Amino acid sequence: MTYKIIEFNDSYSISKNTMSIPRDARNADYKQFIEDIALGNDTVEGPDVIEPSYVELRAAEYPSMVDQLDMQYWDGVNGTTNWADAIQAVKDAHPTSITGGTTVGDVPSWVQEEADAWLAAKQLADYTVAIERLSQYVIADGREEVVESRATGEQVLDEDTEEMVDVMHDVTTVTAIEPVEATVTRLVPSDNIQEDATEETIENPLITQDNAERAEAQAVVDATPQAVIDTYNGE
Amino acid sequence: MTVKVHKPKYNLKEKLDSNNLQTGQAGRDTLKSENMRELFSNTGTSRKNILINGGFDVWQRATYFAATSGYFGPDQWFSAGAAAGFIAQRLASGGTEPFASKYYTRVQMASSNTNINQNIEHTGRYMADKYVTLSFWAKSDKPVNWKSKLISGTQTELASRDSYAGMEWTYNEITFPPFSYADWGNDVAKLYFGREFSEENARLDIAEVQLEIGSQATPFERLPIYETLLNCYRYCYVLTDDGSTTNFGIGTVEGTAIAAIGLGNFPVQMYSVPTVATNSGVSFYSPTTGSRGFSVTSNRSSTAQGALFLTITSAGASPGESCSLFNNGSGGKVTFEAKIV
Repeated sequence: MTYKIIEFNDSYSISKNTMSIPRDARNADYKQFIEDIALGNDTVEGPDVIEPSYVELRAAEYPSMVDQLDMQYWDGVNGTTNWADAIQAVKDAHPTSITGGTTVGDVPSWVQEEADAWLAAKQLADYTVAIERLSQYVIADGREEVVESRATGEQVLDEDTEEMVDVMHDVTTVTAIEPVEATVTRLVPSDNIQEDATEETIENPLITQDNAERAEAQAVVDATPQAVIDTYNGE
Repeated sequence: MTVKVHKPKYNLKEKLDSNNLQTGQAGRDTLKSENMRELFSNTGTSRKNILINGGFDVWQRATYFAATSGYFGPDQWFSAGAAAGFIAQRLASGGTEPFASKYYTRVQMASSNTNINQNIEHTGRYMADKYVTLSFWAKSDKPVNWKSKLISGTQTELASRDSYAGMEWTYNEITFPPFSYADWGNDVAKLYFGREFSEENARLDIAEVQLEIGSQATPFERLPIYETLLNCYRYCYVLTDDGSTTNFGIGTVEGTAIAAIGLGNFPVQMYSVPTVATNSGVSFYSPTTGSRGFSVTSNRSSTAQGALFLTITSAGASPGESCSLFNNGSGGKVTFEAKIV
């Protein structure tokens, strides 16, 4: 069922089924509402706009009963038509053609604004995870060792320059990882029980899974709006 | 100056044991304990259960629930990813179970990836950098493996452990390693409890679920029912039909079709401004209109009080007259939900 915005006394709540959901960012149902709108899982209808009929409009403008009785008394004394004129003026201002009714108004702008903000936050989180996944090495290629020369903290005298210099040593900062086998062989049993199983060579399932996860991460990166990428990059 | 340190030449525990000395009940019970669980059990000491309603004492919404997702019977516990046919129900202990709780929960799994979860408020600061231990009793209609997971506030799986449920009640104790405050993500974490295997359907009976700080399980903490109720009321509060003439709230008619109703102060401040739902067992009443149907126009509740504006079915009420929402004898319920997500 569609969400329905309820506007009453300049305050909003959201209705769905038997629920009345407050506009509160901590409320779980409100969060679900924003998520459903952001992801297009559900729709939202604007608040009802109630247009009064001529009956209600006239009732609100007729003079009070006390005033009308007063007007009728003085009309009788003075021979005037103030009371009839006043009533006619109200009737003329609100003709019977105004039948009133209820229409559905526009969805308030804050709904889309909050849905957009939620979606941007989600895209940023998904993009961050995808970038992290893509930064991992490709297991079909393996990983090369990275060695850095670092100071040990000791110093010795350089006889040529007669200055104390750092003693350096090589530190492996990234260990090498061999690529996994590109293919694996498996036995495929025959439908005929009297025949031997045959061998089948397939892509290494580890590579298949790695490729699938990388493709999924790349798809997330490709689908991420530039504004979200700029936020990720701190721009 | 010379300081001499004298070390005892004997083991105190052995000496006391061998001499069977009376060191007081608590001292004797402490000495004969082989592990923390026995120690806490022997001395009657207990510690705080981080979970709420781990003993399945409170079922405000229902005591039998068939659902596909979302919240179900026991307060605080909800299912996620459940398929049609999933059932959770409250069962009374028969007195032969190896635990003392009055009730336990039966979860009938209809497919793979069926689970129950509890979101825990204010987790990060409380549990950061500490071992936490989960303990529970479990039984199934067939031997199956189950998974227990701790999930961070950002939905990252921090740890997953397999446990086993045989056809007899089995006590399970699982200790999770410490996680930093940053790992927890924010102050809401989730305990996941379920299965991820599609080979077979099974049911799981669960009792006395406890999550506590420390690397060893202690006896299940048995809170007074009013304390568990108050804990649950922070997230769900149900006004229901304790009597056929129950008035859920009173108020004032403000227009011929509009009324404002106050539903009282909540027993404890709720986690968020709650969603309000009424069922068909709730009716509107005013002296002018008599019993009428209604719809909720506006939810004006706060975290401390329930309040509604109603649209009365068919206008005709007199502005200024008093009115009420009452149980019409068909199981009326007014439900305030402030779930943690």
